[in-house]
Amino acid sequence: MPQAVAAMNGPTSDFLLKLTSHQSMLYAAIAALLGGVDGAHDILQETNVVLLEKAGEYDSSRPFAAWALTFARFQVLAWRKRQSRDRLVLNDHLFAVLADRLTKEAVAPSKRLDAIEKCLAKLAPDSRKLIDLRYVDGKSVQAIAVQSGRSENVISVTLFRIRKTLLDCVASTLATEGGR
Amino acid sequence: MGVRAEFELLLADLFDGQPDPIRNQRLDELLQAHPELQDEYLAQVQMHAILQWRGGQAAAPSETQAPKSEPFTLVASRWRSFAASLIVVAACVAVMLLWWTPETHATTDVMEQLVDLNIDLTQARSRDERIRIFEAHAETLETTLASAELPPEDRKLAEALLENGRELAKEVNPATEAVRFNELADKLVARLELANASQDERRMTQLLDAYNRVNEVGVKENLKLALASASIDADKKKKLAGATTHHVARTHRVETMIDRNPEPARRMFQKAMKGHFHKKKHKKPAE
Repeated sequence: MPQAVAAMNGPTSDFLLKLTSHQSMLYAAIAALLGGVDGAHDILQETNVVLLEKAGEYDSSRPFAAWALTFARFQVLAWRKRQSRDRLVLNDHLFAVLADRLTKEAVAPSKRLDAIEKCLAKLAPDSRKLIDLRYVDGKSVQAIAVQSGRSENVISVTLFRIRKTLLDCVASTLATEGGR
Repeated sequence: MGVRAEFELLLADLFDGQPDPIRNQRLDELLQAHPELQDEYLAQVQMHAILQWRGGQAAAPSETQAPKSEPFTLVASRWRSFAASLIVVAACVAVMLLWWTPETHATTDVMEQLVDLNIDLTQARSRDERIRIFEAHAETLETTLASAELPPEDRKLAEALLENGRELAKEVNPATEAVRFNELADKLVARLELANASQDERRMTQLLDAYNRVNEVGVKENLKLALASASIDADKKKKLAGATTHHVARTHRVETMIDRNPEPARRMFQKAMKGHFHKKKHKKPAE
């Protein structure tokens, strides 16, 4: 794996920095192509291996996100081939459409993460608490429902709406700060 | 139920419910029949994933953002440069003196020796040599560690270093060693961040010296050796790729932390990161 070794030395440390700073973006894109986060971490690691192997082919004048997403897409395709059809959320045509769209619309990951932090800080206390329970404490919707005395359906729909609020806020923040 | 309401319910269930082929098929149909929902699908899944990532639920390597600070440059006049150099030299001498004050000597000494031992062991490329090195130092270090007055967190770190030494003496395996040294480097960075937050420059310098050797030799050199190995399988490749990105992210985090310090501390920390203050505490046993 000589390219990976080369990637650890001087001039290509920039490549590794790019790879590292795009991890959340790649993870999110892989999840979108899978239709959820199950398996996303494994596919991200497989993508990282390929990206390290291909480091020497990367043209630094091209956007890293789009280049890396091309390989992530192939890794998701390989994963899809290993699954039974009923486990797939997206059919082949829709998968291709969404993968193309993701590649065209990649947002600089640091700007998006900054925007998410700002928007999380603006959430109402109850909403923030629910997000923390689900995503920081890692509690299932079922566990949150039992803890709060509400139905799973209500919790799930509330989380959906909070994510929507965050998305609107992030879009507005990125538009204001020129993040796209 | 309207299309949008149905779409929202399906998405909410996709994230929070059990796998369901019928739901998946219906979601797929809706997305194809209503392309205007595709953007929202992508945005919602990515937000769900990033919130998971951010909360540490993705079980993935930590990441950093692109560098925000410019590399250090001296743009002052020749006289100001000279004055700055004097200040740095004075600060470095002060650190050297502080390092060796009696009250910190025992703590520093045992930690230093344990790091030295780990580095000597991982650099030895045969098991026999490793056993010789470990046996020459282990007993003394165990006794010193047992009697040293260390804060609980430092003791945990020292014990982790000693345990790593024991493991290193058992076999030569660069891939496993890189992963274990990565964990030790994480522990050192946690201590570094505390020292940085409390502006404890002496402690920072000590920890940076240890961190530098663990990171550069224990992690980086072993990753290089492991990645160059012809016998590496797919699972190991995956693990090493994760370890590599984690190593790079942590290195960048430490450099950013150093860059955010004012002069002359920043220059002093940069020197510590290059091993300028390191004095080896023990010698390898004669063959």
